Amino acid sequence: MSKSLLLVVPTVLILVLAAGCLWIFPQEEAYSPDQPIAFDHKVHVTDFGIQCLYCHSYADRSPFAGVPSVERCMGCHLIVAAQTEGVKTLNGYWQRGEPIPWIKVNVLPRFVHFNHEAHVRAEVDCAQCHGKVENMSKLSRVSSLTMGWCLECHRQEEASVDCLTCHY
Amino acid sequence: MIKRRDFLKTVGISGSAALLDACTGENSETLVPYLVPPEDIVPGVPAYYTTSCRECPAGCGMLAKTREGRVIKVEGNPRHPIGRGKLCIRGQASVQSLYNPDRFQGPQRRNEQGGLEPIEWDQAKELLVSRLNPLLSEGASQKVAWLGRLMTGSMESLVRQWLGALGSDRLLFYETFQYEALRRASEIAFGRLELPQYHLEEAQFLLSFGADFLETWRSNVEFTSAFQQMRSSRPSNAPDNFVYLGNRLSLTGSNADWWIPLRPGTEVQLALSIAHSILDQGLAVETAASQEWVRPLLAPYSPQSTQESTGVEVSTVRELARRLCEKPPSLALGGGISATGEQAVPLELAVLLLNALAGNIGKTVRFGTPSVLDRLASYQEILDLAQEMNEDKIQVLFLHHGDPVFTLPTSSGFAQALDNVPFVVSFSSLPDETTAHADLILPDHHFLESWGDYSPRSGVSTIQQPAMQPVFDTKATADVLLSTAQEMEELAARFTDSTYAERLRSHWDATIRKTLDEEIPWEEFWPDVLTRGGHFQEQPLLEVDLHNISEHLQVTEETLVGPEEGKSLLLYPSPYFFDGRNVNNPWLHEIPDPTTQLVWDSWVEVHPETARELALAEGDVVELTSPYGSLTAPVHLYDGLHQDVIAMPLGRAKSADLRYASKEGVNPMQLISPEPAADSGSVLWRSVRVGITKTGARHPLVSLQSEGAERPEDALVAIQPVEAPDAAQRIRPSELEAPEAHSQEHGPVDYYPPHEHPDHQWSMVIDLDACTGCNACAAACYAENNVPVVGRELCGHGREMSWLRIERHQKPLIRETDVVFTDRISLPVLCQHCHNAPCEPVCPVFATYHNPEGLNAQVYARCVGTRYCSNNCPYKVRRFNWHTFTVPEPLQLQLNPDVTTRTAGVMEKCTFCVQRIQEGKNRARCEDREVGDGDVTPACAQTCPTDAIVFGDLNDPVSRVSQLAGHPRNYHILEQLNTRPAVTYLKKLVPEKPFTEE
Repeated sequence: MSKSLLLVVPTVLILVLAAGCLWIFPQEEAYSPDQPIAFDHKVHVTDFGIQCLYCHSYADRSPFAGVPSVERCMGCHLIVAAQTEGVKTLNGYWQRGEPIPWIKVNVLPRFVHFNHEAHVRAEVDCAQCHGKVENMSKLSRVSSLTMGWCLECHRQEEASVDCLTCHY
Repeated sequence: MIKRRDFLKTVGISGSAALLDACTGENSETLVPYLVPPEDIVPGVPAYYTTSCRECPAGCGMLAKTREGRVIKVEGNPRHPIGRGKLCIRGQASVQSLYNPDRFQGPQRRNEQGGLEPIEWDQAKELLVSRLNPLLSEGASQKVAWLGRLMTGSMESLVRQWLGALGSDRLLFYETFQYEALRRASEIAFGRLELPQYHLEEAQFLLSFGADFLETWRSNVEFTSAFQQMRSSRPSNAPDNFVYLGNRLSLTGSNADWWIPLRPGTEVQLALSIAHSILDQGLAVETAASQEWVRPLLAPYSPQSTQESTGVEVSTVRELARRLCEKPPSLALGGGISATGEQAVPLELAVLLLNALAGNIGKTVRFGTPSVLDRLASYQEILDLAQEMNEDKIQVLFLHHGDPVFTLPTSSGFAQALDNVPFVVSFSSLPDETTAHADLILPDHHFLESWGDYSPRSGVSTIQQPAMQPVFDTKATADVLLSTAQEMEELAARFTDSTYAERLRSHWDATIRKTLDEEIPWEEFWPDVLTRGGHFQEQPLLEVDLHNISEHLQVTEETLVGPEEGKSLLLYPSPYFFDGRNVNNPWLHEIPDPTTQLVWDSWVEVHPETARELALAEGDVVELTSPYGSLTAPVHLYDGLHQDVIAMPLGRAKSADLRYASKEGVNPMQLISPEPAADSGSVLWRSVRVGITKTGARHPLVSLQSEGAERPEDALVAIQPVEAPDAAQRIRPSELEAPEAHSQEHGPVDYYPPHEHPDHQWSMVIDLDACTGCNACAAACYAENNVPVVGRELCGHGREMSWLRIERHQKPLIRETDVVFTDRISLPVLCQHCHNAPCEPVCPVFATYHNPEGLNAQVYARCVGTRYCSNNCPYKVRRFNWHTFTVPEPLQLQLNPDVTTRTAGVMEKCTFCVQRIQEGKNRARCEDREVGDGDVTPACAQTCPTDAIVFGDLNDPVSRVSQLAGHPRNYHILEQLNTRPAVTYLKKLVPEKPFTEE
């Protein structure tokens, strides 16, 4: 191979790599997938004052915070805003007996065991990890949720940094 | 010519380009909520349901642990009198019966081609009703029969009523292993046609004539923990208090201190000679000795006169007699299955007499609590039913669980009788040799999916609750009967309950709640029953008198049919598979058999001397022929046999469409006699001599532990036991006085300072004196930690994935005298969580390290699979995932969501159930308290029936591990390597002197 080609090929590859990474991990844009129903947290939390734990009721007693059951939604929406598109879609799910397949926004890999109960009881505010959800019309992930990011807070708060705390 | 530097640059950069593929971006996962959340269920938090295990007739109380509506683990119910919080290996593996991929997924009908085709429940019911209605109109009586597993309470009452409405009372309870001989003996000797209750925990000396109570005899979990109580209270100067007499050293036998190998057929004479010696030495209790018939009965059986036929020395007999009487109460148990031949009733009589002379009646042998096993139909009664079937008297036969075509002697012709019945309905869950003859299959729920009740003995009524929705389209048999009754005019009025659940409640209301001394309202009674697991009431002791047994004790030469030069065939129940009912549970195949360490096969056990005579090597396939049938099986050399005997386990393989049952279906029932015993009507388990011929073929057996002996070239790889044969695992009482000071002896200066454990220091103590080798812990570990099953071939390559294995440390049995020292140690080997772990410094990526709580942590996410750690581990407890193992549906429903499932390329090993540690700590933190002793129990420790495994925090001075760690019997395995394990073992106590002084 000629010397110039030996320089060009790797350089091109690096540029492609960098572009690819930027494309996949864009700097400022947060992950915000489209949901089966365009649920608006801003309306529910800021305008109507519903607390996190009313819907995500398991957060203080289980490793999983959970999402509200369709029944919980229908508790209000059997009547409230029944004419809007979103609620009509919701009603469709309810009538068909089908749970809504929400797309998970704050996803952790399967080999990480995160425990909501422990964090809620340690008085970690929901917003610390999930951001100002009350202002989000469309939910997006605001924290990187990388291990380094978790460790920052763990070190600061002097919580356990032992691997086995989360990886088992 | 490319230069090396340039080459590396190119490779390095293009390599990183390849990494791009690994960045798949966000993985989209769905988050599915409940539609309507069930009350009291919190996702992520387990819910427990009390129920009864139905894997065998013992009926241990069980707690089913469920997560998000599915059962993931079962444990014993601590409030239940049978089991008391423990389960045996069969109970632990019962989740695999629940999620078995070969279960019937719905009703099936036999079609014209002879195959089974699936149908809907409505069609099935219609078909059934169409066959039953004609019988009603005919006014035919006794045209319907029911042959099934034991039922009690509401289920029994429903079935009886239903059959009665069809004009029949032909209801037979069938179990492969029956106890007719013992019942008859109890009736003759004490006037009670019932099985005696044995209280092992109170015995000071135990003698067993073959009853394998640690494995399959009657109620093994209960007996195992009673056995441990007996063993832990033995005096330190005489630690040998259990003698096993028999043709084969079973697992129970290897837990005895002494084994007396007996020639088959000489058991009765030996028992009577011991009785003779008791009288002779003046040791008998007055009430028994004073009976005038006793001396004349025993006169011909002096130890001198029986010595030649039994092969047991006079001094041994005298010593046995002495030990039975010197510290009352003692206990003598009769023959198990293997000793049940023509002489079964005389043997049980002789043993009851021994107990009477030693003064055990009313103490360790009690009457007044009939067992559910008392209701079993005898083999003779089954044969009578088969006769009726052959004579066209039965029009419809219902088969409710059990596999009689497989478990009855094949030459009895039950299969042919079945074929003669016009309509055979089976409620079985799995295809087996009997369902192959059924016309209609209406698969019952698994016991974990169904309501029910079961009473293993009087005074214990266990409730059975569904712990989850049915996995498949099955129906509870009781509900099938009720809904069928609704479709039939004459019956509809009599069966008004629409579901069995209703009927169960009203039955308990009427038969239990209303009969209580104190009036309790239903709203209080029922929730208490459901949380406790049932209703339990101690039964009063019944006083009995010894009757004259002389005329029933005819000791004759046992006739074995078969070639003169053949060997006596000994069939024994498989400790894991029982009679073959769970033959399709993969864990049971992968966990090594406790006496042979073999996996995934069935075999014939031959004594090495016999093998030498016949020029047989391990793995040679032989043909066994008896007058009734023949089969071929590979040979396994086992020295725990009397030389006149060859042995075969029952139930390790079936010829049915079951993916895990051995492909070479071998059924030893083909070899035995179809004749019932004349006096008890039971199967003559020991009835034939078999001829053995080499076929020339070979089938190497897979053993998970090498014996160190010579093996043929095609033998498959096996793992060496972790400790050398001369390891100091045993301790004599005289050595207890001077406990070894470990820290001084094995304390070279360490290179690094010791680890610090500010909060907890998790530690484990395993008592080798308590471990029986039953392997319940191994199955619990598989269940709790999603440990994969690798199959026969990979086991042969030494790649089984068990995190916990029980090694069998059995020295070759020295047969110089008539009494053999069993010298067996069952050694549970798991990750030792060493404080000086050899695996930690060699990991290039720091995937394994010593965590601040004393665990050797394995982080799957970091592991890159160099396998250096496993190479360095002297205990060989690290398991590498050479493949990504998957399970066929629906077995994946059993997986524990709290434990990461591993993929290929990652190392795994025992974690001390870290998920339970984290859960325990979390619980304590949320409840604002400290973690207490007993808050954290690993799966192995939780199920061990003898509590041989104790786990806890060494930093807690009052924890059990802290108390036990300094025990005089303590040691660490491979101590000399200075690994400083967190697992302490307690040596097994062995006898100081030989059995007799001479």
